[in-house]
Amino acid sequence: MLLGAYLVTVFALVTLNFSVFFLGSIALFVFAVRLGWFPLSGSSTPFTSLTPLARAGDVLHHLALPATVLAAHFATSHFLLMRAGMVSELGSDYLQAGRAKGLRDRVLKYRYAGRNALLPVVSLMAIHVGTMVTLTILVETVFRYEGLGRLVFDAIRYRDYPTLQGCFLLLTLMVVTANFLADLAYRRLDPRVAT
Amino acid sequence: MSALRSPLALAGVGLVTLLVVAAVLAPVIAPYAPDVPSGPSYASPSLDHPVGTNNLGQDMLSRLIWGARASLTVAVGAATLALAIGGVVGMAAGLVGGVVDTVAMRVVDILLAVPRLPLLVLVAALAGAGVLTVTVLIGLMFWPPMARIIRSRTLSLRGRGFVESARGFGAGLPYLIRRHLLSALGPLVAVEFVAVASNAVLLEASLAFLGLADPTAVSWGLDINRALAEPGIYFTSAWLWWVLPTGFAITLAIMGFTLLGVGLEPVLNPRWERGS
Repeated sequence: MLLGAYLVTVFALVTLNFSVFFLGSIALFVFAVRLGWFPLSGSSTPFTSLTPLARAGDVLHHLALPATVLAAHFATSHFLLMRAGMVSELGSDYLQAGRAKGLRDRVLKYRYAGRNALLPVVSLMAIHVGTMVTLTILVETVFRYEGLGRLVFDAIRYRDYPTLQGCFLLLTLMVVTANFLADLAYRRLDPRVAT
Repeated sequence: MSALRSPLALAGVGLVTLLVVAAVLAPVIAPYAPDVPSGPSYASPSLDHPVGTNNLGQDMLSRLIWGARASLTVAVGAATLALAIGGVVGMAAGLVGGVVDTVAMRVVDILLAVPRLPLLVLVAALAGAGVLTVTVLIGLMFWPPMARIIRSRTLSLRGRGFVESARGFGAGLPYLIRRHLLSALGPLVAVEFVAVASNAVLLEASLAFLGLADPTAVSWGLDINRALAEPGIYFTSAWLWWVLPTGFAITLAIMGFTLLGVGLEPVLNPRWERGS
């Protein structure tokens, strides 16, 4: 148990320190070039007329690898936070009471302790959205993805200030929306804050 | 320093030492000059070129070693600047209190909300991305969190007996800072310094990866930028010795600083070790 926790911490420290563009380059090399599971670049296949459904599939296919890389870059800190939360929740009194009431272990762990341990994770998620939108600049450069991050970078390079303003407005909206959604989720998870 | 005996901290010390040695001794230990061709293009790793060569025939091992110098310069420079500004602001806010504290902390609040990478890209693109510009920019970006942490620590120190009695004997601000605060803040400052250094390595590499760096410099991020801009790089095996070692160099440098910080933490807060 102790060794397992130690190994996981080491693994977490290692993944936390991978820069997202290097992680992206490795993912591209392994999954797109060597294995051929994903397209090499871009956000959709150009110069094709596809049915709406096929188009959606195509976009998702292009999105899969960059999105996964960005998510993997942030997954570790969620994992560490959730683990710490679970460890501290599992020792608390209400679980003892629940156990005395005869609740099954699984219910106690996931419905009770898990729900409470999830609270800081939700807050962190909202904070991460802000960092994520800035890291899209790097990820989209690696994958040659035609998204907002790349647009910001190009607008800066070509001194295209109106585009830049628009981009930042959109990014701000995204961050604010994410924070709002996190607040809503927080309320559902912990009814005490709703009042 | 018994805490430095933990394997993680030791790994951190080892990695940072390696980085410093490579940076300081670069001209001595690098087998070739990093910026002139020293072999055929895209040579695979061999005895002559242990990590191969890039598209211009430059020796990759030499570029890795010299790249450490660029990264370390930015890291140490930025962390020192952040520490200098953040330390002064934080200690002043904590010790003086009142309006100074309020104003300083509101300024810090505003600066903390600024997204770092886009601002860095913006300024680097407009003002040019020399080593000095990037170092100063990163330093200016990281003083607010530093100031806040040092302030809160100063506040708690201010109430302690030894500071109060020194004040009672008529000690002025400079004397208090010099004689009592600096030594008490030492471990905290060390941890924060290391944290900023690790962030600075990452930001410098990210900027250079976007192509925002002095084009003549030898920098890890710039090497990855060049490599990925090479048509068909993923279909040649050059990816394996051009991108992979460079990426790992960046990762190991960041990890070295992170682990060192993790290792220093129990020194700062002895309860931490017993608790886990």
